[in-house]
Amino acid sequence: MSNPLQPCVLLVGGGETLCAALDAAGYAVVSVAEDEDFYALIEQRRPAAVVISAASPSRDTLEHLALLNRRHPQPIVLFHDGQNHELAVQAMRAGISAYAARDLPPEAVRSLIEVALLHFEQTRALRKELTRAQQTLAERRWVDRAKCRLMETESLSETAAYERLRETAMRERVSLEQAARTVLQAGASDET
Amino acid sequence: MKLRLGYIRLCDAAPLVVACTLGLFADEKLRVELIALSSWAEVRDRLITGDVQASHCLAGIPLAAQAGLFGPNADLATAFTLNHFGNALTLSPALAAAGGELQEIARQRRAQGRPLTLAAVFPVAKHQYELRHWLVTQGLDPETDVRMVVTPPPLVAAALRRGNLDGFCVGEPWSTRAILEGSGVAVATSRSLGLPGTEKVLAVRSDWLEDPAHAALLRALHRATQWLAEPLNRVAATELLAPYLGRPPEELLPALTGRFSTHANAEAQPIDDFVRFHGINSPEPAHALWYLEQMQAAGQLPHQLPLEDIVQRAFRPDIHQRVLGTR
Repeated sequence: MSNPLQPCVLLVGGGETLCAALDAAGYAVVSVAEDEDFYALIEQRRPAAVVISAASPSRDTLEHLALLNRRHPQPIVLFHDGQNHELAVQAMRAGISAYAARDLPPEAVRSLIEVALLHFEQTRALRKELTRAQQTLAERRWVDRAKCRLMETESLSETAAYERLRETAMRERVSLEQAARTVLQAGASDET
Repeated sequence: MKLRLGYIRLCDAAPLVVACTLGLFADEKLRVELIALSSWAEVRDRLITGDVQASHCLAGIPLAAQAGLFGPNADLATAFTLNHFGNALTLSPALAAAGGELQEIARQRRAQGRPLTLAAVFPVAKHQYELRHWLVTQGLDPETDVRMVVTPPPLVAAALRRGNLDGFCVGEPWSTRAILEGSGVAVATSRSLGLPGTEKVLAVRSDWLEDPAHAALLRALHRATQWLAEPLNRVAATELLAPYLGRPPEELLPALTGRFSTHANAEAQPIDDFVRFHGINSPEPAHALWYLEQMQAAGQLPHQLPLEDIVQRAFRPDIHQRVLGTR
């Protein structure tokens, strides 16, 4: 049942848990996919707020809508100060981005972000970032081992060993990690 | 300290990826983590909150920030231009074949209540102004003759195929993707439009401009763009970039080597400087002024603004010169 007293919240790719939590908190939730036509949706539904994964590429469409009409939901992290700004930053770090219409009272904005923070599922963005960081770590291990090998076999200083690797990478047009692997493989075949 | 650098999965993130994978950041004693972000809004937000210290960023973002478009705390600036050019304007095959009938088609579509719909990637992106410029050269008014939307690049090819979009202006490899799958035909590139070149910059928060780590970043990026100036290295760069972009290297070749095909069956025509990384890195105030004027023309900024002051706060050739000299 639609109720005019319930502010409408557009939830973009948010998952069932958050949808149910927002519903229980008294919002009329419209849950949509990321490739939805937001222009039609925002015009028809006139939502008081939008909750979307901070890692969703569709955020840039919402930014366009926010700029086209100042009555459309605006990014909270930019246009709220004090406690709501802090909460919006916290939400951003947890993977949620929220937009609120200017006439939504600050207390409502606060409760909305609090509910979203509690129930937002682990986002893709956080997992992706983790993978990237792990790769960097693996890369550093190769480079460190190759450096040690060069320091031993060529009696180079640590800086000179690194310099050697980096020059090889730039000359051979391969990544530093690849240059390190080559050094270690060459070393391994020398030993046999 | 470990630096967090943001980037968007586009070919013109190349200087950051090259500096990272060839160890140029490490040469400057920097520990850098490259973090793939998903939208320009996310780039802007994470810069403002300090979640990333620097990022691959649309040149229009620090300018719009200094013009007040993003609220009172968006104090962003740049001292390094990452590239000139690199975008392509791609239409559905039917529309690309329309030629002189484009105005008539636009009129019919408007009369049918489904106007031609064209996408750019962010409200203050150069893509927006390239699209508007091209429309004017075709005798169309961007305000009234077509519908302008923002669609994230990963979604544009599918939207074109389904008919939700009639065309778009995006960075690579997204036009190439639509071209390869036969859903799009490129009718212009940043290079052919003849507009100021500045495309992406390394954006930072203004209070970080004087940080020694920022200077070290600029030195490493300068060497990366030097390496990218060598044509043979461009092919190798596609291999370095591919894992960071999550795309196969061959999709990145047209943009990085300049052998760009405008449609699926076309022979690739070499385009000189399809995207340029080196020799253009000092922020160009004249280009910044052009961006602000485009924002005004598009109704995004009011007309009474101290444009020169905004340019001086957002584009910092002074810092560039202090770190890198007049190179």
